[in-house]
This record gives sequence, C-alpha cells and structure tokens, in this order.
Amino acid sequence: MAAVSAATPVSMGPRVQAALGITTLALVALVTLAPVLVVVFGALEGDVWRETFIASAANRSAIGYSLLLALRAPIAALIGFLIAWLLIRIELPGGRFIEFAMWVTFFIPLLPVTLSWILLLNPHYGLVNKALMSLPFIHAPPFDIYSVGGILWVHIVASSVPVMVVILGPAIRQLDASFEEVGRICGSGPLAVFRQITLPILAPAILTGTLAGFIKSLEAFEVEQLLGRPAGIFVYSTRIYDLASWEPPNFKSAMALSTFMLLVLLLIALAYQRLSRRNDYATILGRGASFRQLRVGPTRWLISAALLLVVAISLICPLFMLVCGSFMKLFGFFSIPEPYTLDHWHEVLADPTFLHSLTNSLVLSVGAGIAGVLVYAIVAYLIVRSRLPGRGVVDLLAWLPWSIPGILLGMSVLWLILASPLLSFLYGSLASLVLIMIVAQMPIGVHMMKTSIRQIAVELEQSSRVCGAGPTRTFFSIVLPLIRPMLVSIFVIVFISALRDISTIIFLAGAGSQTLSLLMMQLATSSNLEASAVIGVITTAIVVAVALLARSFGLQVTVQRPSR
Amino acid sequence: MPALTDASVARPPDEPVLRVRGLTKSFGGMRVVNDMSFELPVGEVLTLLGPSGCGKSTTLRLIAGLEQPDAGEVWVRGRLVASDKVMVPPEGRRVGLVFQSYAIWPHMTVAENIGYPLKARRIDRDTIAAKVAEMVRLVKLDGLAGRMPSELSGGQQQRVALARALAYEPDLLLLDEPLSNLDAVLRKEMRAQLRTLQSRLKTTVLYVTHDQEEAMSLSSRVVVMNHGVIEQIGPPDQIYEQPATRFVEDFVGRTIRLRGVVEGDAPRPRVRIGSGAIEAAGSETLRPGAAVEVSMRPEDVTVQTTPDPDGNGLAGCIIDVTYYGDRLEYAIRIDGPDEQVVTVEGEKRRSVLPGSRIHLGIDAARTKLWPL
Repeated sequence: MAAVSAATPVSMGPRVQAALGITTLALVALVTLAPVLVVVFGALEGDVWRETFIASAANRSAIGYSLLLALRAPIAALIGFLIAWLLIRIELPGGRFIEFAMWVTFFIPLLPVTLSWILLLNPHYGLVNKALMSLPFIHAPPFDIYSVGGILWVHIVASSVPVMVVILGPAIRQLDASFEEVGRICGSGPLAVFRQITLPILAPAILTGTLAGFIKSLEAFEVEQLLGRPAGIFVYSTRIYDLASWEPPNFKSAMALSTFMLLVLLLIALAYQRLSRRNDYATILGRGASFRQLRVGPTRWLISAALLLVVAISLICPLFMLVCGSFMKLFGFFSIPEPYTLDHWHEVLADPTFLHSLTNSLVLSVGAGIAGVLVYAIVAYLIVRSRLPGRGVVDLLAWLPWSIPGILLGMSVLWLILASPLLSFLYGSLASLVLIMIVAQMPIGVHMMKTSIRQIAVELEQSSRVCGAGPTRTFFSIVLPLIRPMLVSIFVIVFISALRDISTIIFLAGAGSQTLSLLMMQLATSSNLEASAVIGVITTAIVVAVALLARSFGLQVTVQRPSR
Repeated sequence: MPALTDASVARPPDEPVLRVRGLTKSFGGMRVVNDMSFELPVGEVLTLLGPSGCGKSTTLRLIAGLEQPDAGEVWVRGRLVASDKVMVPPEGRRVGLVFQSYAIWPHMTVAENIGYPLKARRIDRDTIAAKVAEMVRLVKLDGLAGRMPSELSGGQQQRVALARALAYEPDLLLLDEPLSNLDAVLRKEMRAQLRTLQSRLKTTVLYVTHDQEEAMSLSSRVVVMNHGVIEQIGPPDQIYEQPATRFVEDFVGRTIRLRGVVEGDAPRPRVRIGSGAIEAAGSETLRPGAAVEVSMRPEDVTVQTTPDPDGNGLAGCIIDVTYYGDRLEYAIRIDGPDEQVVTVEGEKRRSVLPGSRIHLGIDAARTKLWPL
C-alpha cells in the first residue's frame, strides 16, 4: 500500500497550471504529428502513387539503393559489438585511450570525414590509390570512393561502428559476469563461453542496436549527396532533396516517396520498441557491475594493435587528412610543387559569409540546446509526474521524430510554412531552424530526461509542495537542480547535433540563416573542397572542444568505465 | 454568530485544528482508508497507530494534500481543504510534514533547506536568516547550517527535516514515522527531544507510527487503525488498559489469552479453563455455557511455586524457559485436556526448571472477557 501511494504523483494543483500543462502536451502532439500528417495527406492525391513508383525508375532505384546501403547496420553492429566487448571485458594495454577515441569519433561530423576519404580514395588523385598503383602489378586505381562500396565504407568507419560501440557498451557492462564465470566453472573455455553464453544473452541488445542503426542509416544524407551523386547513385534522402528543390518543386512525388519510407521506418521502429522492452528484462536479470576484466596473455597486444588500427582508420587518419586538405592549393594534388598554402584559410576567414554562418550556427546550437533542454525537461516531467489526460499518448508521440528522417521533417515543415499564411513569418528564419532541431532531438532528449526524473524520490517534490511552493517553483528549484548533470548532457547532445546537422535544416535555411554546416556542404558540392575542408576543421574543433568540456562535467553518453 | 464576522478572525477557541470526516480512499479497488473520522484540538499530539498497510500513511497524505479523497472531508482550522470536489493543493494548507525518508534536498545546504518554506512564501531575506538561525538552535544543529545534507548523520538529517517543517510555524505538523530510520539508541533520544520540543512550542501534531511505545509515550490521544478502519480512539492508558477490540489489545502490548467456558452454578460466575477455573471481570454479564476468551497483560500475572490459598489462579507445568538477559520467559502448559500454552515473564533470581509444577496468580480485576 505504501508503495502504491508513494508512486502516486502530486496532483497538478491550480487550474491555470493544469491548463498550461495540457497546452504543452497538445503542442508536442502537434509538432510531432504534423510532419507525418502533411506527408501522408500530401501523398493521397490522385495519380501520385502511379506517377512516383511505376512511372519513375529513379524513385524505385532510390528505394533500392537506400535498402542496399542500410546493410551497413548489421555489419557495423557485429564489428561494434566485438570492439565494445573486447574493450570492456579484457584488460588491454591502451584500452582507456581506445575507448576515449571511439567516444570522440562518435561526435565528429560526417561531412569533413567524407572530405578526408575523398583525398584518400578518389579514383584520380586518392593517396591510397596512387600508392597502390606505384606497385608493379597494379595498373588501374583499385578503389573508387564514388560508389556503393565507398559510401558504405565511409559510413561504417566514421559513424556506424563508433555509434554501435557507444550504444552496446552499457548493455555489455550490465551483463553479470557470474553468468560467464559459471560457464567457465562448468568446464567451457573462454571462446565457448563467449559463443554459448555471452552472445545469446546479448543477442537481443545487438539486434536492437542493428534496428536502430537501420533506421538511422535510412536518413543519412550528406555522404550520399557528396559521394553518390557523381556516380548517379541516389538514395531516398538525396532523391527527396532533388524532388523538392526542383523549380517548380515536385512535392507530391516527394511526399509519396516519403510516405512509403515512413511506413518502412515505422514498422522497424515498432519492432525496435517491442525488442527493446524485452531487452530491459534481460538487463534486470543481471545485477551488473560485478565483473572483473579478463586477463589474457600476449594476445592482448595483438588485440590492442588491431583496435588501434581501427582508431587510426576511423579517427586519426581522417582528421589528419582533413587538416592537410585545408592547407592544399589544389585539393588532393600532393604531387604539384609547393602543394601547401594558407590562402584558403585567409579566404574563408575573411569572407563575411563565414562569420555570418558561424554566428548563425552558434545561435542555432546554443538556442536549440537551451530551449530544447527546457522543453524536454517540462515534457518529461509532465509525462512522468502529472496526472494530465493525454500524457500517455504524448509519451508515444515524443518518440515519433526518432524514426522520421531529417530531410522528411525539413520538407514537411517547409511545406507547412509555405502553405499557411500564419506561419509565413518563419520562412527562412533562424527561429524555424531552432524549432525543427528541438523537434528532431525530442526523442532522445525526452527519453533521457524521463530516466533522470524517475530517479528523483517523489518525496523530495512533495516535501517542497507541503513547504508552500507551487508546482512551478518546485519544478525550477527542486527538480531541475537535481537533474543538473542530465541537463548538461542533453544540452551538449543537442548543441552538437544542431552544429552538425545538414539534412534537417537544408530546406528551411534562407540566405539570412545559412549555417556553418550548410556553407560547408555548399562549398563541397560546388567543388570548392579546400574551403570546405577549412570549415570542416573549424566545425570539428568546436564539436570536439564541447564534447571534451562536457566529458569533464561527466557527460552521460559515454563508453567510459564507471568510476571505481 | 453575527453575519459580518469573518470566520477566520473570530474563530471559536475550541475549534479543532484538524477535523476529518468520513475520509475514504481506494487504490485499484482496494479501500485503503475507510470512513475515518476524528478531530485534533489545538496543542494536542494525536497518533495514528497501526500495522503497515493499515492506511495510516495514506490518511496523513490525504491530510497533507498529496492525495485526493474519494469521499469525506478534511478541515484545517475551520477551512475545508479536501473532499471529493474540493482539493486545496499541499502548498495552500499551512501544514508541515516530515517524511519517513526525511526528503532533505541534497542540492541545498542545511540553512537553504530550512529556509525554503519561508522563501516560497516570499518572506524577506533578513527575516529568513533570523528564523533559520533560530530553528538551527532549536533543533541543536548549531554550526552545521552551511553543511550539505550528505555530510550529516541520520539523526542530524532528521532534525533538519523537523526544523524545515517547523520553520514557517504551520497550523499542524504531520510526522510520518519520523524515527523509524534511526537506530534504537538514537530513536529513544530523538523521542525525548521531540517530546520536549512539542511541549515547548505547543505545536499541534499528527503522528504516524507502527511502534506502540512511540505512540504511548508521545501522544495525548491514540487512534488505532487496522484495514483502513479506526478500531479505537483514546488516551494511551485507556487504549492499553481498556482495549475496545482484541486487535487493539494485541497491537498495543503483549497479551496472554486463554480459552474457556462460563460456569453458571457457582456462587460467583467463573470461567472454566482446562481443569481449573478463575474469576474474571465482567463474567456475570455472560450466559452460563458461553465460550469465551480471557485476556490479561503479562505484568498482571504472577508466577508462584506454591499457590496462594484464597487467590485466583491456574495450575500448570513449565515446558520451556527462555533467557533474554534482562528477564526470563516461561512457556507454561495449563492443566487440562486442551493443553493451552501461555508465555509469562518470570523473575531472574527465582529461576524455575522446566518440568516444574507452577501456579499462575491472576488479578481478576485486570482481566478482560471476549465472547467467542
């Protein structure tokens, strides 16, 4: 009985506050549902479906390529799981450094890394190709970055694997070591235990990770735009971009295509939801935290070397090449006399557009970060603690943007702004970018906030109410200070996401609200790769600096070992 | 009363601080509080006593405004604060509450914790500082005002929670098992401090506990609850000496129970227990042949090796002796076919071996009869 009443939240109190709460919930429902409804209703008209899917081979091929490229999810999940397991369970020389490097890679923007890989794997001037062609028996460049393989490679190395390491780390850490120890005592060797016990227990977590990776891979944009377009490879997101940015835009086909993708994504998202819920059960089974790292013989040096190679390929090499590229007279041409110059740095830094974009990016990132943290905290609080009607529905809806590709979100919001005179003031404004970033990051933000708020003992809030503070004061003086570390974490995640983002905001930014990431994209697609690399270096530097700063504050998205 | 008088100003002096009427609350179809009614006059300490799950904490939460009743009313200082329609939020009730877990905010210092209710009422900073200093002295936390809660012991945290609840001089102080998280020694000490504090401040207190000793020693009156229903309300001595139900008798102290039958043919009505018979208070009101249970407190029973010739008592045999350090306990089988066993305290100095014959001296005036 006591447990029942302890879990019962405080009633909202005054009517005004209840009304405000309901308004907030309704707004969340509106901003999460509107993009989906726009797209689905837009696709309901007349002949659109026939036109989009039967008449257009380009649309069909885009779907085909999207699904083909999504194959990186299972590959990355397996590699990522292996790396995470090795890092967590085996005592490795340099293990902490490798973990740290994976963590940094997690945050690095994709576009600059793509530029580096162009430098290395371009069929004409790519360094790796040139090096291999100097060998007597190789006559044609063996690698072509502008291909399905090239796109897969950049994704897997630069984002999919590090993301999997970060996602799967906690699941592995929570696995009670006694499961494995019992296996050893029963007479199995370490490899047999790994195969027969560890892998089956963690299989749901790996599968969940794969599904998450699958969904995320379907919304990738900038790599495909940069590497696929020259080779005539279009995926769903780049195709949508074309359809909606033609003059006049073909919104109808874009929406039909989007509706189809949404259907696929929602099906995967549902499967993911069901799986991750069962996954929680597996987590509860293990009490966690009680594991000792395995000691292995000289093999550990071999493992460390292999992992360091991964770090070199996914982080060090791309960063080095990016910096090189930014100083080159002609991107990729190392063989010309005096290949290096400071001209591009001068050119970019002196350009007022750069300063303007930098300011916009910072305003967008900081604005979305602060506003987002506040909005997510309020929404999560209402979901967890209030008794307002509809909070359960909003809890589900807040999850929706997670499976909506950025490009689709951007397109539908653009359409809404164009179609409704009431919203026209948002057209091309920085405010619209802030708004859409808040919506795009809502799933992760609200989810993390909910976890954090649930950990606060209800008595701490009730006590404040009895002491004479209303719900609002209680929220600001008790709840928010108690989840301060989480506020910092979410701010950093939103900040970095907004700074990196291209696909979500590309439709919405106007001349006055151009951001650094969009400028970088624009320079890269207009073949000014050197200037793009300069901006890439600057963006990466900001992202890494913020991530490191946050880490010293105890950022919670982490592969770091819990302090002992 | 004249029509123009404001009820809150011209409050009759006998107006109770708290009035609870027909209070009812269910969780998931389970009636946790069922038709509770009681009043709490100014300056009194009233204790809700009962086993865990009896609804006492829920009653407290209904009064504090943390739950809304399904039926019934809560009046504080003559103002209706809760019913199935009215729900004054907790911050509007002018009550203080100390949780079992203390609920000290970990991100605020001791002084900030204590000053919070004053700050919430927009009192100026100097007044808050003065009041906090006064409260710190009152609960003997001198020198700790700048500490964080994590740097305090359990007893100190408990006093912070108390100071915080008292800081804004609430009409009513609610205490939810405030001592249950302390060790036995500290609990006794805090109990004494609480008593002194209350008699000094004359605060009206509603106290919730499952510990009968706490209830007895702290309260002016005790409400014994079970299954969401009030079993008895009364001063501690009345609850102990004249329990209204067998549940109350068992809950507030140790009890010896013996089954028997009322004998009618004797000059004075007696109760036959096993092969003996005793006099018991109130037996004349029952019909001969009625099955009854006789109950008494262990301290009203004496263990005798030779029977008092004209005394009231039963004979039996010691089957077990348990040593508790400060006392002995005998398990005694009463003579008779039904072989009833009772546990009685004995003196350490006159220890008797198991297997010995023994007599129980029973004070007839201090027994109670329960018809079966």
